[in-house]
Amino acid sequence: MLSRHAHTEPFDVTNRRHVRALAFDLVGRAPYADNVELAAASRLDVLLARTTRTREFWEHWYSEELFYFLLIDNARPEDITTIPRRLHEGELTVPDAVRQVVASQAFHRANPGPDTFVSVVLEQLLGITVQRNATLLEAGKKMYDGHSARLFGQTGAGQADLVRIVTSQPDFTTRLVERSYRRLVRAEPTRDELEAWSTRLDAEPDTFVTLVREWIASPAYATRLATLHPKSNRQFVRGLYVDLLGRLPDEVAMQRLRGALAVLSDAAPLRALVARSLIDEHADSMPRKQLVPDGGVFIKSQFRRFLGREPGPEEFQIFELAWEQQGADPRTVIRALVTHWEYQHY
Amino acid sequence: MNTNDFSRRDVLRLGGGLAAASMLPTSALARSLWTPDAFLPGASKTKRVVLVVFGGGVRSRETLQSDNVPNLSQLAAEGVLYTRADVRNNGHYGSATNIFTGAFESYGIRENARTPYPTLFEYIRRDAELPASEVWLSTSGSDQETNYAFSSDATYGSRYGANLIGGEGIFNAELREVLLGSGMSNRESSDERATYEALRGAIRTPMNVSGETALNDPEAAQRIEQYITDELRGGVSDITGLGANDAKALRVARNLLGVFKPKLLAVTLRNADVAHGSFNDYVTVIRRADSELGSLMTAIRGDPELADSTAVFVLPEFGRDRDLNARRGLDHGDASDELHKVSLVAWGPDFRRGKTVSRDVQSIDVTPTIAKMFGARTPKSRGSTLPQLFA
Repeated sequence: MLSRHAHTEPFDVTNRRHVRALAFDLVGRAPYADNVELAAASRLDVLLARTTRTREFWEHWYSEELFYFLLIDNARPEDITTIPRRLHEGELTVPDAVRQVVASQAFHRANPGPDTFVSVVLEQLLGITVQRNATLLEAGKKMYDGHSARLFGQTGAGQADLVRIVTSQPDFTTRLVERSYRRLVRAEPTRDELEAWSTRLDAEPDTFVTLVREWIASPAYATRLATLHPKSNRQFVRGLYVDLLGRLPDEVAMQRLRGALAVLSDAAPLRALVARSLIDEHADSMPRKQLVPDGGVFIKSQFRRFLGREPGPEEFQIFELAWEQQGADPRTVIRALVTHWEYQHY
Repeated sequence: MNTNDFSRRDVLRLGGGLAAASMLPTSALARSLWTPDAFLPGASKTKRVVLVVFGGGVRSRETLQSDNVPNLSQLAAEGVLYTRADVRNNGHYGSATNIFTGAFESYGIRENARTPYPTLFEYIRRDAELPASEVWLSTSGSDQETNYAFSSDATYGSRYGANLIGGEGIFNAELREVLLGSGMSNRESSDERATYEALRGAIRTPMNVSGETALNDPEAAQRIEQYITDELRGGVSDITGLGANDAKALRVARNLLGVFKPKLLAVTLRNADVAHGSFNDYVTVIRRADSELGSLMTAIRGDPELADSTAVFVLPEFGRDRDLNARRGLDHGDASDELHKVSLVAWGPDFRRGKTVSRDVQSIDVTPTIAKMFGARTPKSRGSTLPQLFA
């Protein structure tokens, strides 16, 4: 995590890197070409309002939350697929959405048995280390098994009671706000901030989007923009498809690629392989060198397209020379950019 | 410099230099003290170590006290068998992490985060100045297991991490179809490759970057990319059925050993946890894993570079309950000796042969023992060197 506000870059709607960062953070992909054009003609508050009103925003939020609970791929809940739509349409609040995830059959399947289920619920929803709270764990297990037990001063019997009692604790909202803030701003909130935001969300559960907009417009997010951060595997794959093909991957390809990238400590070699595979598969849609009127203009446009910035003088010199003298073509230029380590960040 | 005189060699040289400046991890810049054929400084005949976490929760009753594991039994008969290795039930992830860190510490069951304690991989990479390509970990494939590769400790961390690969996640027919079935070119001329590498190496990131350091240098990354491509085209992707994840982890380990000849190779298994719901499936998984362990040992014994210079450690992260549950399966939570005392096997050219040690040791002793063989310190480990091991 960064030190608080050491360097900042206030959000600039004409800065392509900023617009890319916002898209990756809010909808989990690179911006489409028209997103970039619209952003440049907009203001941050308008851009934020527009983006957070989309169904895609909620689908991304939901996907990130499922990842937090490790409910991914085959473990993804099938019984609550309407959550993003209902969030989008205002029929559901964020805290209630989390409650539904925890109460889902998929969550139970992924966390079988009283020991695992109660441990995961206490750890992930309230931040409790169960090994240091054996009494809580035992009470929870008893309740899970259908016996009457007291937990946090409330009596219950059964798994539904267990989830209800745990998600009614103040720390449930605090941990939810905390992880959401970390995910977006890549920093730790202060204790006062956390308390204030949790209190607001408890009082008005539909204010989550307002909090997100405030966080993005804050100095803390300006600090985040001054530094490149790693893309998650999901962001990388979705971003690569949008950047290269102008569309998102289908669900099957997404699942397979994300799953493969997740089981490497250094995903860079496989990310390079994925990029090469995609470029080769769609080689026919790449511009032909002989049809590119100006190599320099093309190179600069590709730096902006994939890295969100202009090439430095030395970078440009080498790329231009390679283009003119060494047989570099659009495919080579694009492949070099999207397999570079910088492209794995945003 | 006159740009008209800028030659291809200049492009490559400049590109390479910039690549080195922007991409190489610190450890790769350091000159390794090792040659591939060197003996470990803390041993006289051992050059490399294989550590198998025969995990998922496995009791001695179904392994070394049965006829389910002829290959593991052979290792035990030829090496040192510790019959009472103390473990903690900190969840599969936590207890396996304990082995790698040499410290008993609790972690959340679904915690997808790195341990604060440095791992064995970091200890030996830092002190022995080994590049990441010398230290590998093959897992059965969950997201969580990726965290084994390195800790969040500021003085160690990603720059000293292991190369980790989860076989089930990568080597499957579906991914093979996505990556290789869609027309990826098999051929690439050396000139094309050189131009591409030069361009990639010329990119100079103008900003600060947060997060983990690149693990592999560009050359190693290229070798790994090629290995993944070759392995996808091989037979590992076709392994299926009960216990397939573990079988892949061991098969990948065998292939990694052949391709990279790493100084340290660890393997983690987990399919035995099927025991929660079925005792019979649990035994089937154990037998299949033992069969793959046998293939790994056959590869070691059959390779002149490995045969008389490789040490092998095998242990589970914990056992299982003493009694069957209501589903006629086995959970892990009763605090019995069946759960908390496991068998640990150590086999290798520097170790005693046919020795059984019945005194208590701990699973967290494995890391300081292996680290000692590498001449590495383990300042944050709480374990001790295994007793009565060396000949």
